[in-house]
Amino acid sequence: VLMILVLLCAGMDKYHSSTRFAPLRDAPFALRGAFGTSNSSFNNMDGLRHSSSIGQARSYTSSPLGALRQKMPPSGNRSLHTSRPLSTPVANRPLSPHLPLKKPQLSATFSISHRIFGAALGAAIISIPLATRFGVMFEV
Amino acid sequence: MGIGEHFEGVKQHWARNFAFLDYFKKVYGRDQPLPKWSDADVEEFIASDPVYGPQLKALRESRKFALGGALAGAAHLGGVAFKYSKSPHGVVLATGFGALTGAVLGSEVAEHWYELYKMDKQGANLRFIYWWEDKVSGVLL
Repeated sequence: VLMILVLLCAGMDKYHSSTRFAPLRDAPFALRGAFGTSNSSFNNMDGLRHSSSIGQARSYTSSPLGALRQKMPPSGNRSLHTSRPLSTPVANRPLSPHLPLKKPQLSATFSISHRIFGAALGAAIISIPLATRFGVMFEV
Repeated sequence: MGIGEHFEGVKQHWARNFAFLDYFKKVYGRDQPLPKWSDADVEEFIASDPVYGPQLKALRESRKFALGGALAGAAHLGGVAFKYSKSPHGVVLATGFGALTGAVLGSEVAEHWYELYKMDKQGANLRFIYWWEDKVSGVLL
């Protein structure tokens, strides 16, 4: 039942923004009974308690669309960001080229040269009071 | 022409504004550079001059505050960046900026610890330079 609902929701892109508030719009008429039984709060809490014991805790368990939210995300229960020590390389595979391919446009060139110039100017400006303050200490 | 006088006035105005750079000319702007002095020479000057010796000594002590502050700041900010970010350039930049801020904070602590605001720091340095000039020219002569 849940897989069918997932496929229906994926197909209805136009109503994607409002599906959470109109659950009965895209469900076929025949499944309305199934909606009613699985929408009961007792069943929802059982299912959500079980899934939260496996992996991620869901904060929106009390919404009336709890039956829809019980589906597993395609990535499973893995956390979004894996922590990795700085010493190991980030990827042992070749990356797809981006910089050698994109044609340098005026907007992008302008933007990065503006940033580089701003950083250099900031460094130059702040070096004057720094040199004055520490030059007295470290000269003699 | 009047315009030439005007530009002479402009140059004089900026020469007055940047007159503090004359202090650096005493060491760096010489025709022939002074022979490099060692810490022992500085210690000798500190022992010999009763007024400016202690001032120079306090100035040199304040270096330790600045370096300690730089180390603490670099370790702290670099550690925070290392903990929360995995970008190596971010960690390097954070360590550098932490060193800078820590050095300023350490020198400010030293400024109040040794009461450096009461003394003429450039004057103390210049007194040593003049003493060193006399000593070197005396040895050569």
